[in-house]
Amino acid sequence: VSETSQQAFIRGTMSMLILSLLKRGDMYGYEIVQKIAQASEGRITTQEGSLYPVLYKLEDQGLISHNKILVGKRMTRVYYHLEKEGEGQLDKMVQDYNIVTDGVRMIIKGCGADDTV
Amino acid sequence: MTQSEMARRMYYKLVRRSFPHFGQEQKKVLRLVDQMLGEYANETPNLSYEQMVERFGKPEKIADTYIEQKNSEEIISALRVRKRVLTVIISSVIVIIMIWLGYLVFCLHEVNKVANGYFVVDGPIVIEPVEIPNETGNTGVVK
Repeated sequence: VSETSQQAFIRGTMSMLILSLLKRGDMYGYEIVQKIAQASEGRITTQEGSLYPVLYKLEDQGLISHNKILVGKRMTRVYYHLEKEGEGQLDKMVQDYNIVTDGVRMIIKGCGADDTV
Repeated sequence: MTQSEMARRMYYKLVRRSFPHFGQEQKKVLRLVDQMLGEYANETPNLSYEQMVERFGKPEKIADTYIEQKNSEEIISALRVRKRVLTVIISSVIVIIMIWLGYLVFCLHEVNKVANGYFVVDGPIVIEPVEIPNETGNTGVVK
């Protein structure tokens, strides 16, 4: 998948991916990036910088919260935590995502664009 | 200043430059990004700008993601604010130019008046009477 088309696809789903990962446990920024690549077996990759505007928005909406933990002598790590509101929002996002992807699949199949779908 | 700190500053400067103007929220996101860059710079000695890009992505990508998180209403509202700011700036410049031109015309008019034999005196001219003794020793008042 080329970088541009992949990024366009990820655009709408990044919030959902982050919330899904945080459901497994609290994570810090770079850890989220690594888990995304790991869990998707390298199909989806992102960079840490692109994560922070999304994390800020999710936190601003009250879906996640953060906690600073001292690592080593003077290094702090910001761990993100999924809040109850975030869990509810994640369920709704997954539901909406399934509806849309099912619709897209049906259209592609109907057009005969991809017989493997 | 360490090499890591220099790379952090350079990267952050480019991130900030590529951000649009959405007000306070933008500052908060930038602060968060800066904090993360600082942490990475602290834990990695002799960090280069290229390493920063490798870890965080291109600076403009961060701004891209920030804009992508905005809904159309927020973008339209930000564009309106920008348009208003531009209108105020352009109007101010036009007013300043007009005042300056007005002053210039006034100055030229004054110069023209002087050239035509007029002159302007600040305040009234007072002519004091002076006593001048004549041949007979009487004094006469000359005005």
